[in-house]
Amino acid sequence: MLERKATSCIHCSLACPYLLDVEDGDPVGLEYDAASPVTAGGLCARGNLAYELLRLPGRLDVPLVRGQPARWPEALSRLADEIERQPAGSVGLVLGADATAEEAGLAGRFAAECLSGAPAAIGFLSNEPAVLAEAAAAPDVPETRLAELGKANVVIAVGDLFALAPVISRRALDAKYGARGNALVYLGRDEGLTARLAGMKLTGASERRAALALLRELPGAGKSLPADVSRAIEPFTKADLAVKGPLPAAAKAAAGAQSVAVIAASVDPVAVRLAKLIAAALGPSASFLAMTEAAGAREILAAWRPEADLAAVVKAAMDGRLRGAIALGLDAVSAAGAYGGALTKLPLLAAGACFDNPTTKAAGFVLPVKLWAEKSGTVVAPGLAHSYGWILRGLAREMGKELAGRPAAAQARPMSIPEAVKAAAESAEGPRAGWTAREPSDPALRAALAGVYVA
Amino acid sequence: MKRLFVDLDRCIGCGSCAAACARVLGGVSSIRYARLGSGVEIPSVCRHCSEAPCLNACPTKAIRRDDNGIVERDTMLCVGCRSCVLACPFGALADEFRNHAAVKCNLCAARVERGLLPACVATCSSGARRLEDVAGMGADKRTVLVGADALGHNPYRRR
Repeated sequence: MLERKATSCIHCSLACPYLLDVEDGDPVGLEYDAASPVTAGGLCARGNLAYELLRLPGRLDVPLVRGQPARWPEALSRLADEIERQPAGSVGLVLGADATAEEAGLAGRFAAECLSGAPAAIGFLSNEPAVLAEAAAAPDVPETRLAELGKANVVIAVGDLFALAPVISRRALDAKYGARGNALVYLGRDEGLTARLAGMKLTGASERRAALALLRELPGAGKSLPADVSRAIEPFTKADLAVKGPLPAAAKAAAGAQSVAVIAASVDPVAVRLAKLIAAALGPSASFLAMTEAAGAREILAAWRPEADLAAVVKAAMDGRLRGAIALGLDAVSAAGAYGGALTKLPLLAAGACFDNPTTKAAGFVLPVKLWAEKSGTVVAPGLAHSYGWILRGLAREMGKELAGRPAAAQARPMSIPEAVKAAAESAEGPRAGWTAREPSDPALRAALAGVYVA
Repeated sequence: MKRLFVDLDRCIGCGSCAAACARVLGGVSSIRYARLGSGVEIPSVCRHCSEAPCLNACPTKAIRRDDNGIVERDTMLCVGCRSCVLACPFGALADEFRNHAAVKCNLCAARVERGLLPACVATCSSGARRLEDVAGMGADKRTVLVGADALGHNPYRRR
């Protein structure tokens, strides 16, 4: 039976919605969601072809223990035995950035309860945690609403915004061509997709230098920068800050505009912070947004703020503090680059992966994992693949710990799904302003959620 | 009669139209790219010419014009001689072959019949690709050019 199911892309933080055509659990095509206020149906090249990943030949579909196919109970119990055989706190954990927030929360509990505080990390391939930390730092600036980006008069892109999230170009160009005097300002190093259509380009230097040069030019900017920012930019001389492009004109356009959207698409945390300071200097007319490569990076980090990062896990392996590592959804050996050898030499290496990669080649345990649309149930997963959450929960159970948690209200008495959802939402945090959710089609669920989700 | 246009003031060269086209046509995109000096690639697509050189060049009459004026190719008749590829003055015909047949844009006839936009128009991430009525375009353009002086800026760019 052919069904059309709503889903969203996972390839960047824009998370564009689209409709997946599913035939008996197999993805066979997609259709564009023209009703989306941000994308108006647009999808980039990656998004167009992403669903083909789900059925690419070579998908791992059965657990392997020392190269031999195994059933899940056997694989998990042998992996649990090997973890317990290692000294306490000497098995690290790396979780892929495509984990859901729930899986990240579960991984945090698993690391604390089953790995006794060994280094555990979410393996973002670029600099998401640092970027989001800088984006959240003071001062407070209103967040850019992407659906209304087209109404801005000036859009300032720090970094190659269109390359990171091509679909944002539709609204950014709406803003540029919206009225006379509107502008798209690009701050960055290279000629790229954004630079091609930006009316004003401040290039030739790094993103942070261009951002600092623009910040210095703005009338509203204070003379003194926050201490951590000044430390980061201390080595710059005046000559370093020379950028190519119409600096005074860009500053004048930004300062005189009725509404300015500053969007950071940089992996440089200092550039992101400076972008936020630009928005702050422009006063109430400005709003700010930091884009990341991983979709839902903010939610994942909020669910589990790990103390270590991938580098710390690799460092621990090089120092001999680690005897083993579990890498779920991240090719940790490749991600560690020149230091990947330290991971391959570990006596215990377990790799959760969709396809063969250097980590699975070195790993004694290969665990097939689900991809995004399979976790949500939109598409049926091939073979015996399971989600990170299922694997971690099963592994914990083999080690005698129970990670499965349910809201207290749901445990108290049997209740319908709408009731349970409402109870869970209320027991966790209560109604929250700013939550947005697509209205459920089920009338009972819609009634139950009234007052929980505040648009 | 509606035709595809690319607004060069909006095309960022992201390649999503080619990806969508390849997806719809089953592996090979019918969209060719013109490489500009700065390294940016601008998509070019079949214009469904009224005097179509590819149609005249085809030795097996595999390329024909349908009732809507769309120049389409019959895969069963195509022998893969590439005469159409050589004849096209815009370089819009793919020289990559699928099942020995040249890949050609048919304005997503199957999608348009169902009331959908052609895949490359629907997916365009910057709103550069448009399906527009040719008849209305001349009048539209004249209005814009006359109005441009009076309004002080080019409202044509508002889209």
